[in-house]
Amino acid sequence: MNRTLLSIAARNVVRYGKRTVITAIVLMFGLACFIFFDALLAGMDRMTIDAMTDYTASSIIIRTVEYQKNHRGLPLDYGIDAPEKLIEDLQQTVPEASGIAPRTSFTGNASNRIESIPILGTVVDPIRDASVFRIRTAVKKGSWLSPDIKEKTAVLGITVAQDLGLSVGDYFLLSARTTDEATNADEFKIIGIVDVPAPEINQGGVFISFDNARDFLGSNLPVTEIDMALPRQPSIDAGMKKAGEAARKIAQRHQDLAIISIADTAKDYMAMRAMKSKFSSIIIVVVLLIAGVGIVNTILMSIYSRIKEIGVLRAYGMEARHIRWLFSLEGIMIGTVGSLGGALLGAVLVWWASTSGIPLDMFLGKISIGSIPLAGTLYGEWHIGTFIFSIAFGILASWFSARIPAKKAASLEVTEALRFI
Amino acid sequence: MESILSLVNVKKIYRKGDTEVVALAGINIEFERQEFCAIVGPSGSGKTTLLNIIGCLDRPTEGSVTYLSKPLASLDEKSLSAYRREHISFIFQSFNLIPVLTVVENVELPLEIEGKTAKTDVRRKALAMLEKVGLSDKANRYPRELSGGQEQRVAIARALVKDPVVVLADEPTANLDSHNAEEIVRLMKKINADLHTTFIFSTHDRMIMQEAGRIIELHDGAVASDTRRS
Repeated sequence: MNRTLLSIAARNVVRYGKRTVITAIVLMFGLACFIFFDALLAGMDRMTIDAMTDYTASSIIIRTVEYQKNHRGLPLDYGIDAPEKLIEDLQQTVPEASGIAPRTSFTGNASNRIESIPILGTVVDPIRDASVFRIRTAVKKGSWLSPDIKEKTAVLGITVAQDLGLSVGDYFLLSARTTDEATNADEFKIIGIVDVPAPEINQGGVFISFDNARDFLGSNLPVTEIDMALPRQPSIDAGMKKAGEAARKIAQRHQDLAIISIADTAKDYMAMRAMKSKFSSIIIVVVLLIAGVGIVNTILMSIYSRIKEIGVLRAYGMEARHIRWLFSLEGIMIGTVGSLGGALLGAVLVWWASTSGIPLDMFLGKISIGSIPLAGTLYGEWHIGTFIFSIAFGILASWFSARIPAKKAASLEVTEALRFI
Repeated sequence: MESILSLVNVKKIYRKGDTEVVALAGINIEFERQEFCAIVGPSGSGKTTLLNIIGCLDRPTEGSVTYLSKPLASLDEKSLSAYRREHISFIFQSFNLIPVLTVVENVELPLEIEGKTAKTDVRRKALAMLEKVGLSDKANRYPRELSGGQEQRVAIARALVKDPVVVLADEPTANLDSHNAEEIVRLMKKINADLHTTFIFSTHDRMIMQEAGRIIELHDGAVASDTRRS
């Protein structure tokens, strides 16, 4: 019996090919859109977290507790005692760390002698900083800082340079408060210009070396934070977990220090991520609702064109449950075609998004939402779970939708069905 | 002859709003095994309703139908399906073959629904029945590729493949030309003689009436005459 039902269902699905194809296409496009958006959202997660770890926050930041309390003002008062010793200790505590570097942040102004703009200065160790951050690889013009150059040099964010009309080789005046609370100004040569997917660096970033900074801000310039990079994990959640574990290990050894992992830094973003997942759920519900209505309609049309056939099958002793199953099978078949097609189309779209990427700058300019950067090229992320979920949910929803008209078919009076013209 | 079906005071009344339409007004008939019985009468006389009640496609409003001494009124929907599956077959006026199935698959259908025949025997039996109706060469064709007469012969093969006790046919020749109608009646008659299958059919066709061994005439839902011919 099941073989016959399967055969009749399959042949009817083929026989009413146009209807089947139209319904399957609706489901296919809906699921493909869901898969594509999910890949983009996952890609956005990856991009945002990567932008944080690669350009602004690293995986773990170590500061003094006092500095952490006042860190928004970027004070030069609460430096880390014996930072080199601490770095040595951190290397032993977290041996998997792929880089550890000291940094000191300060605020100031950059001027071309005509106009001046506020900047966010970062004092770095040019070699070690490049093992934690990827700013060196984002140098668009010129080069990254080098300990070999004795002249006062700086690397500027691209927008800072553009706003001041400066380029590599030009000099600019940098002014800031020193460790003695005095204001100092000095001329720096622009050695490089960076363009990174972190708007705050592009719009206000000025990088100078510790050697130059000690001449400029004071010989007793402290290290205000130590940044640590951890190897990249296959998923964001795994990365967060690893960073959290490492932060806990450090905190156990250094209870007097503030240890901030990427999970803390990205708190705002993670909250937004939860909102995005709700948005994804809405997409899938809308898709399945539209596809469900399509399937109900297709099966109803199929029933109306085959009422006599239903009557014949019932007259020959087929039970109502078999009729129900027959039309449910047709729904499942349409759902399977649509879901597999959707997964295939989704795979093509995700492949395109993961290889070519979508240049956000082109569509959005260089923007950020709060501390969350949304710049650079957005690459789609493969998420096998989404494919499996889409196929399974598509088929299940089709079956569920088909059950409604299938029930109607099963409840038809045999004599009415046979009389139907 | 053994009595197989018995209808006692069978009434069928349809209600449409406040109006009552009496389709059968107290029918008393007994059918015997191997009968070739025509039910005749003008349109609206209750022929199709009577066949539907005998075939358990519809239930009487009053009265009882007994099949091999077993009352059918008490059977639930599932048991009625089983009764139809095992004992009754139908031939319809407009053939009603399943368009997506081939000729042989259409003939196999009742055996597949019955589910009692081994898979290997299903095809063998269907082909043998097609041979009997002279259509074995069309086994793999689809119904749309057949003429009306051929379609009705496939419908007969489908009705007979499960070896039913009773075949109910509602105007089986109404959609056929006289030549094909004659062939179909001859075929039904031959099967009736060879396989001892009981045929109960409604008709307006004088030629088919002449072939019948018994003619029951209905008028306004009641038996107007019941004539047996030798």
